[in-house]
Amino acid sequence: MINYAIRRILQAILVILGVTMAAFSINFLAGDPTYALLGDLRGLSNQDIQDFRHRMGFDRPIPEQYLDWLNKAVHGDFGMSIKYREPNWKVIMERFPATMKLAGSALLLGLLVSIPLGIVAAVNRGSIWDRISMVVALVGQSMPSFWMGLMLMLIFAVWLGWFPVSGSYEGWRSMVLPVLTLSFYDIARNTRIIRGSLLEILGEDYVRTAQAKGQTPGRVLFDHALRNALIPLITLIGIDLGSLLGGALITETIFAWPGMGVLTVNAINGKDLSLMQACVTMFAVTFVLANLLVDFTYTYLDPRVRLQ
Amino acid sequence: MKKISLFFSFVVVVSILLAACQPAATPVVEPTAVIQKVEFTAAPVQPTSAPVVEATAVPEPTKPPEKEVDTEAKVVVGMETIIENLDWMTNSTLNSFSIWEQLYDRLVDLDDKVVLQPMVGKEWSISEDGKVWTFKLRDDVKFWDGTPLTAKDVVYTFDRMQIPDYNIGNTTYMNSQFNYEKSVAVDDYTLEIYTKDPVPALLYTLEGINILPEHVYSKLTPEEAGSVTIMGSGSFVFKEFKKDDLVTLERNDNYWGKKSQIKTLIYRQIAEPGTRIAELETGGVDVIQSVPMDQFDSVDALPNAHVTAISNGCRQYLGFNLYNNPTYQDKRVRQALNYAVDWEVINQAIFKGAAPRLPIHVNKPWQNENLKAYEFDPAKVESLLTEAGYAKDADGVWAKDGKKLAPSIMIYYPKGSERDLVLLSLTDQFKKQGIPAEPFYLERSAAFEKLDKREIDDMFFIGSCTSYEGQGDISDLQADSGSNYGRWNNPEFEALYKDLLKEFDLAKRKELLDKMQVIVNEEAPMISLWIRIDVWGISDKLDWKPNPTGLAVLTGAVKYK
Repeated sequence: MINYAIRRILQAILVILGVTMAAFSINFLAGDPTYALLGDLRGLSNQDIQDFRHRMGFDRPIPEQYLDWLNKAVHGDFGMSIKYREPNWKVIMERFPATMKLAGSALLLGLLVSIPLGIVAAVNRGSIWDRISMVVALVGQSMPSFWMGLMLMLIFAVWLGWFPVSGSYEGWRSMVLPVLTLSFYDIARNTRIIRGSLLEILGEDYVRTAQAKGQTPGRVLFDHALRNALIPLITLIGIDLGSLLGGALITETIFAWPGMGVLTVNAINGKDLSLMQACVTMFAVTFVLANLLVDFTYTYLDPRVRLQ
Repeated sequence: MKKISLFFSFVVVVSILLAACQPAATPVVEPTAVIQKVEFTAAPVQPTSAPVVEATAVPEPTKPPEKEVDTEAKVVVGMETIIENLDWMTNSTLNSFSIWEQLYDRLVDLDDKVVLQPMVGKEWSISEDGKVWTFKLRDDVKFWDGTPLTAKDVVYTFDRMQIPDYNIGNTTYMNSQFNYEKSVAVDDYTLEIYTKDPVPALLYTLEGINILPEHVYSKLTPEEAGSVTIMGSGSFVFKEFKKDDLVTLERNDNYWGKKSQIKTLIYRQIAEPGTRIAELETGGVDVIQSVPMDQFDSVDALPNAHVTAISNGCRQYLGFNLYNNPTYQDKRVRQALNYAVDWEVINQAIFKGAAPRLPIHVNKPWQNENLKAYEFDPAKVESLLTEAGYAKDADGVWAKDGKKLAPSIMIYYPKGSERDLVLLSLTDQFKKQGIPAEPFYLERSAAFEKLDKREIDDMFFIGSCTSYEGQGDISDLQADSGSNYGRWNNPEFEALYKDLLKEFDLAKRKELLDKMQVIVNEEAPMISLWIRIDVWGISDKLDWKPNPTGLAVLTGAVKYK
């Protein structure tokens, strides 16, 4: 078990390094950051441009710039944001909670809705409830999140006036529409997975044995079937967190929610390189840690994995 | 049951397919709404000694008798972006200047008609050699902490702009126009500014320089100035800044000038246009920026708001590679492409008739009013290209020496944006004239890198925002200018530009600019298109008119109860 943990942690570090290296390189492939920072070059001579590049360190080879960044990052220095004029770590820590609030709430809502829906659909296979659940799942997975967000805004904020249109100024009320937008896809997908997984489990011999022994349907479902049916879902939670953090970008933009998604896009558009790197690192670390946690939870839930 | 669910699924699928097969919404051809256009009618200001005037007059809004002014009003403005940090010198976006304008004072200022007015500098004079400007300052201007604003603060501000930590973004451009050597505080309220060369248009640069208090900023590191401390003397006092979220300002009740009738002014960053419109509709904001043209009618029809469209001085044009592509070094080809543009069709379809074709790349009042824009003329396209040695090949494409006239046009605006639609319309028009042009898309910084390194093969689509002074506009075509992306170099133009740099007399400057514009119009180093339009959504409770600077300055606005 310890060997497994060490192996997974080393793999996680390699993943983070790979992600940060890729992000660094891709950013330079999109163009010299000098031109993003200087604007439309009005009134500038070629010497002005070269002086600026030198001041910012952009005239060094890209690998050298990356290694310099990595050296400082390992010592906890993620550099200064050119745009915000603050340490990147501070800028991220101000915004990360807002995104985690959205993503975490969406994850929780996704589970709270999809698990009962999936159970109902599986247990009442072929019934009207099963059909309704599957239609909801189909719709949820088909609709793009930006459209969903705008529709929710139109209906519940503009027409009905139940919730604020955007911003984060009204406490929990401000979170309702963005969280719904973010969780829709997860609810849809998780419902289908739970239904499918549970249907498979309910057809197993040991479940039939439990039923034959006179166990109540509830006990059969919750004590024998559900735990096994949820194992695929546990795996998905780790991936979900990553996609929620990424998907939060669209939701944050629509609802003017000042989180990490908007911060990252602004950093990329503004060629605030060091901030962009710090954001990517933060996403990578969060994603990897979540998946590590999922992997360790998996070994606890499924004895077969432990034995392997 | 099975049949019902099958039928239901069939209905859903068919509905989705039908929705997908809907044709894209066609642009409105008939302009259905009145679009206000603001003309630059004011005369250029005298750059020599100006008479002493009272504090900058903020025009009194006309108040309908039944409406009561809310002097404790909170006004919320929805913008695409707000400030990036607390230091105006390191911010680059136009939107951030909407906020700085109200937090700081300057030596001179542009009024609602974009005419220069005295501000902290109540009068000025220029030395005979044109290199020393002497300003007399007002003695009643105070920073928010009560400290008087004096000449040493202005000196400090100018010197600070030269320090590399602050010499980025827009400050770099201002320094290039400033030609700054040094400044001296002769006494508390007398300032001398020394420039390396005569700068007749200096006032237009000074109107963008916000004065910082030396006693505060001289003690701050660049990081502290950007994130911790802010101090100004403007009509509003800074209260709060949440990055990429909002900036809150409060009325400065001790302001030396006309006090605003708004108590609290909040600028919110709302990137998504649909969200901004929804906020305006529900009363969450009072003003929104950048209403998409295809939403003009629906926003104007809102029961609680209206729309105002105004030219913002930013000019869009197509440029040519004039440095190493012989095709476009031929004036006849450039003129032919100018005649191939049927601008009125695009103007009606996309801008509802509010964006007439520009005759020249210069804003009024410095625009040569005798010049006419190139009109759509297929016959002239044909005759010019034939004269240049082109003939239509078997495909109906103009070609010369076996090479087709098929320009690739670089664009960095997002696909689906208004400017992208314009370019697609233009390439379509060129194709119909036998000139199969194609756009190619680049990310913005990659585009400027290619432009700077002269790596654009044929043409490019770009904009240039104005300093409201003719020299600034036309400098885009000056041979050494960083924004002369086509690298046009006309000796006659250059000689006139050299004279312009030294000429302080306004009438003579106008004459020089007029001559330069005639050359540009004839030589056609670019295809001038239109001046961009700002479309603002404004609550009916708010009495405010945007001005052509494109800034959301609400000092003179009034909100009714």
